[in-house]
Amino acid sequence: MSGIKQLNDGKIRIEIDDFGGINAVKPPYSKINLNEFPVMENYYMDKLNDMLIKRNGFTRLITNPVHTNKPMVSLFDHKLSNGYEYLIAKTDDSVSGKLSYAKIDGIDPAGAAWSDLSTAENSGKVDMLTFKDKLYIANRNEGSSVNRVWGGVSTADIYDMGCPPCNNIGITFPGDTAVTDAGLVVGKTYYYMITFLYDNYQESGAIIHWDTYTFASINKYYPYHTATDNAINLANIPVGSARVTARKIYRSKEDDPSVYYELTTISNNTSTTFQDVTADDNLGTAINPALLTDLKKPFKSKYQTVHKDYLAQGNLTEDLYNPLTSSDVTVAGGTSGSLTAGTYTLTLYKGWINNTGGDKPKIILSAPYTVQVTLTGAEDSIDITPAVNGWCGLIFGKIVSGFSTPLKWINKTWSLGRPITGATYNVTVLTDIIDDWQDLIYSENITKYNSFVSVSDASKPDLFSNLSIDANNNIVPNGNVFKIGQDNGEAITGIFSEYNRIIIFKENSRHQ
Amino acid sequence: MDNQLGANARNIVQLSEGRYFFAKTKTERNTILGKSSTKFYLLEGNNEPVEVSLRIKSFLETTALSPPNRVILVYDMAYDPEKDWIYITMLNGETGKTFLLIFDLGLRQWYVWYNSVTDLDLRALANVKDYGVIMGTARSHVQHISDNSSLNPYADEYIDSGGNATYKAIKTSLQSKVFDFIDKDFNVAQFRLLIQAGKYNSLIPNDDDITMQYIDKIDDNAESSPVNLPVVFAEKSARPKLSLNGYCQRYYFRIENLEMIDHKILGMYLDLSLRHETAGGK
Repeated sequence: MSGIKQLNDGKIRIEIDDFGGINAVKPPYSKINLNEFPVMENYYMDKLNDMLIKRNGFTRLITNPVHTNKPMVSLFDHKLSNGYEYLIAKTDDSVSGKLSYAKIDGIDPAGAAWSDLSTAENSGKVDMLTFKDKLYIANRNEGSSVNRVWGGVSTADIYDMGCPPCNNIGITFPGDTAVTDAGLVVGKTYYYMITFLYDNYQESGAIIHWDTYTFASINKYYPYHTATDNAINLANIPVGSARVTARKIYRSKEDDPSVYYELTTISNNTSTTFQDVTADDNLGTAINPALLTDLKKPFKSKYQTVHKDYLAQGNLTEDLYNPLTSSDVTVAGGTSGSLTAGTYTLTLYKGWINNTGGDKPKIILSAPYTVQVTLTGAEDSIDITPAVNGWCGLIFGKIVSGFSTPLKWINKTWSLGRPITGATYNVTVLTDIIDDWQDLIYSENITKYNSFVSVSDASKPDLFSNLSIDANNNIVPNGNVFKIGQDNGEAITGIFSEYNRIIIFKENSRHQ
Repeated sequence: MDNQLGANARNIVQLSEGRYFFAKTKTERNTILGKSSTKFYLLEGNNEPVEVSLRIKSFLETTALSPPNRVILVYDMAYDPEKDWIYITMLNGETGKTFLLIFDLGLRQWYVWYNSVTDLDLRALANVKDYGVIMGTARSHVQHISDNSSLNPYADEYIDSGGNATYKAIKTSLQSKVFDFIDKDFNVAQFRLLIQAGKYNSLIPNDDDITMQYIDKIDDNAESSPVNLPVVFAEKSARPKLSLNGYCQRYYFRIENLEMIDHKILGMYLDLSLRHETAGGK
């Protein structure tokens, strides 16, 4: 028991049996500061028994090293819902590194074997987390590899993060079929769009296009005019990578491609055919087709977190994106055709434009951007030309009159495709989009080195709209966002988030 | 299994819903006066973050890198909910080697765990339910804190470049606060430790003493030569004692030990005596 005791011969005993200290002793008013012991090396406190205990030693958990004599810069315990458990290690030799995994569930970890997940890693730490039973790897090293996702099956099961779109171009319609009680109407046109569902939760966009008037390669079908041929067969439905767990099929109602509705989900990544017998009235939830044309880019970030069941990224390396303005696009009519003279109002939806030239990349915000074009004569298309170079991801536009159709990119020019009742338009299929797929990142008003987030689910695009940035490039939290730290040399590296709460940390000082 | 604990960046750990622990480092450019200002904070609920590292402020400053950086580096962090401890691997600026800094959340106490072999060099951390916090090393091994049944539970295992393992005894050190004796009439102190000694460490065939040191002057802060106090291992309890006599305004006591394994310190006592000119006074 701590206290002061009067002993014989004028002695005073101060007992500090809970390892407190005293700052200044001046009897009879001795200052006693208990429970304080500044430096305890290789001890720990056992409060229950009121003692200090020497620590145990460090010893190997796994006998063999991951990467002989190379420093382990990141380590993570990856647990799956099926009980599997892996250790993930990132090692580094300042020039290159590798990611490795060792399965440790159900075995003595001393004998766990390391397998290489990736041997061509850049140096630097990675940030890892488990989300939806997948391992997400954020590469902290700017300018290096994009973030990755590992399915937890084998070495080959590692992919770039992001969701490559489902290429609908190869879908065919082998022939309509007469099906009893099928709900499609003979003589009407139906439009389809198919997306991938990645990792059982993350939906991709779709690559769609309008081609010539021949229907061979477009995502719609025009049933034969027989009294009974009222079901549409789809074939060559795309299959995706091993991350794809399902395909979702959307369909318009008859003769109206402006709105798509959920038709069905193919709960596998193997089937390539589907027979549609669903009547318009039995279609599912309406989907804004603009969302389905989002292309989810694999980004580079340093940190990641889970927010509202989303995977959020911090410290993206992408450059600043500016909102689209009128000076960024020009619109004009195409060659002569059946679009009549007059003024058309175009509504451009969100999209993403990369930049390989000298200009800053541009982004078309999720909020519709309206532009007008006047055709002085009959023309066959309206071309939209961005004032930037490089890859263009804007793929959806609308004429206010109710017409709605995907846009195509032709030599840095977007063309608004064929209206429902219009003539044929000869546009070029944008095939290189397949190899250079990109994501829509809701990243307006971010700065290069400050934390911000991207989202993984296009159906909820306004996730982080409560952040903004001021004239000094400081992130400004709005509403329920709370921020710690200022741009004054203090370094807090990391982000975290919860429901209704995000904290953004900035880093502008030294970190590891 | 979804991992809803999203704060896994290097300098922040999520303890539970709404509870976070994070490091904050400020770079001081003043090459003469600059000091590390690495601080640790606890954030709970909607309250403002509370700095919890004031008590080790001096330690953090003295182990920081040399100017001009003056920054103590946090390599990694991990939280062990079983112990309610936060593990932090940090770089000691003086030695260039890493060490473990542990914050005992329940007791609000800090522990510094130096490796017995500095080349062990702990880097990355992760929490594994069955094994506690595990540590990745600069030689690419994964280590953990051994239990009592392990071969050498009180020594650190070191693996050289050839993969050979050796064990090194752990050196403990305990340093008290500085005791200021404002009243010169109280300048005779007797410092006692109550130790439950464990087994003799066969790795270090040395004497059985525990070494104690103290400062005996305020003028130059010179430390006294270590005073060896015998510990009788045959007994489960030993009460080494160090007596200080003479005029002094400030004392601190440092206890170092390499030989004893499995020892426990049960208590610490400080006796102050009235100063008598004939009893070793000034």
